[in-house]
Amino acid sequence: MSKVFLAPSGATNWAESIIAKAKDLFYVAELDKCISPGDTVAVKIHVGEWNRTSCLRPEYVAAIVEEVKKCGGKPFVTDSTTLTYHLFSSRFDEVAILKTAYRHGFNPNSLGCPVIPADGYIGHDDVRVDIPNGNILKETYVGRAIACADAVINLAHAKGHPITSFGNCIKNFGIGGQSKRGKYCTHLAMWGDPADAIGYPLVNADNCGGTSCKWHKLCEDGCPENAITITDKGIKFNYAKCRLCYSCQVTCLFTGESTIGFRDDYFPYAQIAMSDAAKGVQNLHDPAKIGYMSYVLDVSPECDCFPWSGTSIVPDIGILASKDIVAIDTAACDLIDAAPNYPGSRSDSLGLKPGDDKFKAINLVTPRIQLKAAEKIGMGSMKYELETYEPVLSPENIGKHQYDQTPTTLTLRKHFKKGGHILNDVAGVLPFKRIAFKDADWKKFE
Amino acid sequence: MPEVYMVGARAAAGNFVDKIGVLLSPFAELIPQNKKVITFVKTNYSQVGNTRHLRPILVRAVVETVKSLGGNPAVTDTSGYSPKGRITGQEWFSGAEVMGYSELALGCERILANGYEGDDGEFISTGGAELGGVEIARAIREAECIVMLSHITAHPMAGLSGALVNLGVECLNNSGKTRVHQGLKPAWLEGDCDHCGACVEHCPAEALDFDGRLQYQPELCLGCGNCVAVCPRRARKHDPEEIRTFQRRVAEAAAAITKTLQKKIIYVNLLTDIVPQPDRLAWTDVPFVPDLGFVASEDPVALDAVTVELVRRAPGLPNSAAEDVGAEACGNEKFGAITGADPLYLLEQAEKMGVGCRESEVFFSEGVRGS
Repeated sequence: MSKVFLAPSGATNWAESIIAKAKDLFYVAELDKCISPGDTVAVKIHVGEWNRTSCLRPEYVAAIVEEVKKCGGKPFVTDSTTLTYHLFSSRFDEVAILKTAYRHGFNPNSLGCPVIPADGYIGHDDVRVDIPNGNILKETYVGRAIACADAVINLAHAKGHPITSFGNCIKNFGIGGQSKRGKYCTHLAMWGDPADAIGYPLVNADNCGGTSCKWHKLCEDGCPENAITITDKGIKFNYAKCRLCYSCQVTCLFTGESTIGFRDDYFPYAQIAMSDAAKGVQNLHDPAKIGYMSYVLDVSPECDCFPWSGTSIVPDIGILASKDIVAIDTAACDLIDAAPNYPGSRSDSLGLKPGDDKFKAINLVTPRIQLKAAEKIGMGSMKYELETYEPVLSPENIGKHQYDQTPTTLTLRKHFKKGGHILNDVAGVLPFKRIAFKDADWKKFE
Repeated sequence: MPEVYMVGARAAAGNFVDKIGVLLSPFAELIPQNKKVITFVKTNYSQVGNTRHLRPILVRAVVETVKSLGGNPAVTDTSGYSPKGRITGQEWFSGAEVMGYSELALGCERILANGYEGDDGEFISTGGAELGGVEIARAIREAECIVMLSHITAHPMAGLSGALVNLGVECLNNSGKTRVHQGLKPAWLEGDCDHCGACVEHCPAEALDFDGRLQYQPELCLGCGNCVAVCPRRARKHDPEEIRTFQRRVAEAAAAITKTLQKKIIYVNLLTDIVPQPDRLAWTDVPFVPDLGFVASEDPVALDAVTVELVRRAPGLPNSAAEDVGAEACGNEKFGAITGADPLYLLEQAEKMGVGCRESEVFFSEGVRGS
């Protein structure tokens, strides 16, 4: 049975820092075995959209980069350029994604390795891959850097998503690993007819306020294909030009309007296609060369691809690691469902109970569709054995992941040895000016 | 007649950032003011080990000038081959950091023009006699405006590595570079060889080996010319006809970008650290002439012609490659003397193919203190 290892969040000593535990988990889950000395190693993350505030902390990523290097690998952190699925998307080309990544602290100084956009200047740099047993997709396009790295560490942030319900390791590959062409593919662009409203937006023209809608200029400007014209009579949508980037749908829905949206059936299909596309990424590598970690922290109801962060729906849960992409995503869903609500969050306002399918309640479709679809095509198993990792502090392990493995107090000792202690300098630091101890009484402040 | 602008190398209390600003001011109108259009600053960060590449702060000065002229700059460059083989993204991006071409140093993002494995690009047909067409690196293909920075060095097959080689070789993806180099197979002058093995070490295609004698597999050869460039005894040499073929190909590839694609390009040649080896090598010899300044033009042929002339007039440095070949006197054409490749042929062919014009009017800048 597939194993998933959990290091719970919460820490009370040096060995329990979530960073120390993540580094331990890397070896406990045998992710080090993915890497041979000299391998280029793609550390695939979601760098987040401009103004997103719940991406992975850069030091979480740096911590794993450090271990990849210790295994002799040559790491780089990567993410792919996106479709312009919201008005101000900030990862649309190589320059924009670098600016965004750097602002979020994903830069060579913080990480100790390069940050490389996966699919080239505008997204042409990709590899077409067949998915012979795909549930829906029979091919997709994967960002070149992810396809051509010798090994891949899929470092996912567990969170919700209004379209795929939930996003973790499967989404990190199934959307984030795709080049632009791959993203159009996994969006199911132009699938079926416009009337089916699956491969095309659902347009409720009667709801459109035309030029009297205050968003109408942004609606028109928001289509990268120039498919939308707004007149005083309403919306004219040119389906022939549409490539289903989601921009118009996101603009309309998230500004509180109701003209352009999704048919309900779209969402489950999107999950299935996403799992197929993740299989595409896997097909480009030997399974022994891919490892998965998931940070079930800052679990917001919407994805890192949003330019804001909603209140987390559960308290931080911990970090997962596994060699099985389906098992790790299932474990994340199970743990999130079992957790109590975070006060003031969407799950709190919905009155959800521990054990309820939280993402189904919040995003209206269960996230387990992507898990079942992935399991169906042999990506892994929804049945898993969860092993909790709790380090026990000892003199042997206390220094393992610290700034220095031996106490830095010894360095400071050397600083003071020559010139004398800093408190003994010429100006006479000691004794500090303060009232006498005998004159102090804390009880006055009780 | 094309115009070439020049600022001198000398300085007395003058800030060279001001020099770059003065040099680029005649081209201010070419810089797109729409912030959604990137002005690419094309450079060559070279390879880890090369200590004479363009100082990052020179590139930063160009970036800052583009910003002050209202543009939105990003730095770009293509990857190629190291002695170990094709350079992929991990090595290119890491190397850029080590060489000081970081975002912090440059003041803007730095992207790889030809993608992770070097082949992101587009084939442009040229209708030319040598190539018919060539693959241009993606970011160059898409760019509307480019400030093309060329560090001036000699080149084993072109004679001069300046604006024309930057265009015709360094703006291509790997397929394009292979297309320009392929089939150009150096000969081995066995009598001059002292079996040092440098050529074997520096061959990215593993086409060379030592087995008592030098073994060469021409079918593996990329024609990159590394073995010719590294040989301390000049025991590997290109046939003069092959050199001319290469130069015509470079000119035709340059024409693909200037004539077929038609972009706004400001060429800047930096006559500093003028060494015998092109930037793509991971090592260099010492400079063979003093620093001579910076020149800029919209015409790459005019710019390279002025560059060759400035170096011709300059004195060769003692104990340098110019002295080795007896070309150190002022008035000696040094690029051809050192490499065996005549840069004037490259210029003539580039003019013939409509890339630009060798004759120009040169303007020296005033107004920078001490220059």
